[in-house]
Amino acid sequence: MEHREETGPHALTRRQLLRVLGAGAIAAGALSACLPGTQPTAGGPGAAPAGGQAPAVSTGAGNQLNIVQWSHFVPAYDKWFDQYVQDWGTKNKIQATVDHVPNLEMPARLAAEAAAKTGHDIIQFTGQVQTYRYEKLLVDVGDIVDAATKKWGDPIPYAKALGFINNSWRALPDHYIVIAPLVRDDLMQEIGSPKLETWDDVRQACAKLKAKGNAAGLAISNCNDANHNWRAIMWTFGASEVKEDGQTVNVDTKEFRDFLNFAKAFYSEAITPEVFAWDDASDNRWLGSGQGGFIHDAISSLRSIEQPNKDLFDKISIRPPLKGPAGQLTMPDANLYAIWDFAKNKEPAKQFLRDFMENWKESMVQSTGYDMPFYKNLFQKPMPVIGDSPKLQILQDFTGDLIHTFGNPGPPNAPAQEVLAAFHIPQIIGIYVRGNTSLEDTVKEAQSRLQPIYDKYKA
Amino acid sequence: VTVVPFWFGRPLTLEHFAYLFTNTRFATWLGNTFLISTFVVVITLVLCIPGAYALARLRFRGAENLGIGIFLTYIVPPTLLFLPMAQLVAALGLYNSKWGLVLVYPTFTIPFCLWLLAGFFRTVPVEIEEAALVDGCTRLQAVLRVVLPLSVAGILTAAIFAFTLGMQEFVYALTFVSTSGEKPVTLGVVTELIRGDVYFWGSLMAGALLAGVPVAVLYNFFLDHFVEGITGGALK
Repeated sequence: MEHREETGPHALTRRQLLRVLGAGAIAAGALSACLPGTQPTAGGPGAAPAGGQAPAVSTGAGNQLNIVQWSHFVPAYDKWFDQYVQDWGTKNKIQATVDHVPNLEMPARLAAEAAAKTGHDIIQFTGQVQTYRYEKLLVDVGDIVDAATKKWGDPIPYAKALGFINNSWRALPDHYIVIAPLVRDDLMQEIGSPKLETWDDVRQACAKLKAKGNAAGLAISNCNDANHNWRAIMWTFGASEVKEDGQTVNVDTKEFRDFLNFAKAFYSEAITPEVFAWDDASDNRWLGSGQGGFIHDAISSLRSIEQPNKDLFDKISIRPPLKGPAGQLTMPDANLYAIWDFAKNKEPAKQFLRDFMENWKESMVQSTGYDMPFYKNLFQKPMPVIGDSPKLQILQDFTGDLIHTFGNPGPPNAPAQEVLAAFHIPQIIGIYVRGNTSLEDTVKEAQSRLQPIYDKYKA
Repeated sequence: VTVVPFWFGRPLTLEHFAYLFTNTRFATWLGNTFLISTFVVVITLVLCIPGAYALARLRFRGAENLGIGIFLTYIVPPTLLFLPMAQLVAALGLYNSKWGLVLVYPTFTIPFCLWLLAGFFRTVPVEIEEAALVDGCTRLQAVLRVVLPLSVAGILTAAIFAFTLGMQEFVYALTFVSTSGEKPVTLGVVTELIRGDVYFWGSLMAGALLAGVPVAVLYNFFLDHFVEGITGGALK
């Protein structure tokens, strides 16, 4: 039975209306697709960046170069880098552009480019290094690493773990970011300047500071800081999420239980519940507020205080990596460059990386000592910027066996990367330290979360 | 406590606003946002007005299920859709272009506005439309001369919703656009003003304020229509 309402002689039938609708839809789609300006045009809202940079889509082969990397915490670094790219392009008669994306958003951006098989030629892995995940989509850059090795010695093991996948270099190690204990010396003096060599020393000292309103700041939330800080503590207790083979989940151990118990004690004695809602900048703010007595983070947290509050800056010191019962380890954030296999401009991309890596010293200067190099011979003291600074020179020692990457003691493989990206370790800690879940149930929860991820990649 | 937490602790300054316009491409991003949102509104209304009218009036077989089905697409999150969308946008040559966003944003504005407008069209008495048909109008003329003028409140509401949904989107913008000159404001400020673990809060807030003011003004102009439109479908 037809459900027709209209009966007038000039009524539009349903079929006619649908035809009109269909034609309208097609016309609108065609209009939006065909409108001019799908590329930036000079002078318009989509105009190229100042300096005449080109659109960043790979449209031709060989004479263009498109780079995407994070927004550096030092704005001046990005200005320097962008200018370098432009000058390099002019010198080599290549239209070179660089786009910036916040580091936390980079995985989504790269996932879209990998799905679309288009986008930039050079990409940067920042913090969440996904070399294993995209191994088959990345160009071998071993020739560039070889050239760097000849000049500056072998890449440090940390670099090799991240970039050397199945006997080939899938990413060029560029720099890493030291994560260090940052301590309010004046507050520590008020409680008798306790030694701060181990995490347990920090727990005891910060328990006293917390009573004075100067608790430590260690995020237990879905953020990079929580990922690298709690992993560092976990490793110093001899615990790990996975065994050396990178496949066997390793949380049902005495060491992991000891680590969880320490985390619970640290939480209840030394920090406050607001850490469950923290992001990567929260500990910076905590330290910058003048309240925080201790944080564990990059020197950006210190640098961001230096200008607005020099007095406070002077009261903060950087301490050596903290020890635990099983050793002294930290987890820096690494930045590596890679070239998509589907990039239209592979040769210019390789040439750019060859040329740019010569600027490691200027990178350190422009980043105010933030960007640490990856090659052994570049650690000769004094290093640029940090070597001559009494406050920062300790950063020169954050290398060698003291630094490891996620997945330790195994490789930073795809399941380890997924565990990292899903923030499972901070979440498991959060479950236990709140006090509503027993130790055994927390271990079971950890096992039930991690096992399917590692099983998935075994299959 | 050294400062009163409910009052300004430091002297008032415009430096964060100045930073936006002198150190970032804020004006370009704002322009892109309004351009994208305007096109999204046009596309949404062009498709939703006849679509919603058809769902509300023509009562063809399966109309109700079709309406529900269209609305269900609205609840599929962009975090699931951005990968297949990326392939589509790249295939059309719109990757890294604001026009890619103009193409993609209607995928979430249309289901919502279609549902909203269908509810509103149902409140227009069918007798008025029938009177127009009796007086010699065609169905299309009845819609254009009678139904649409009576539905201005609903259409304006749909337009405002489409505009604001387009303005606030982030995931598609992040994953499809990276050239500075093509970014909408939601992406531009985040890219330039969140650097690693350092947040430029003053400029971020200034950017949010400047982007929000035009929308607030827009709402204010059409507030009565908006209230009428949003509540119009509630009663028959």
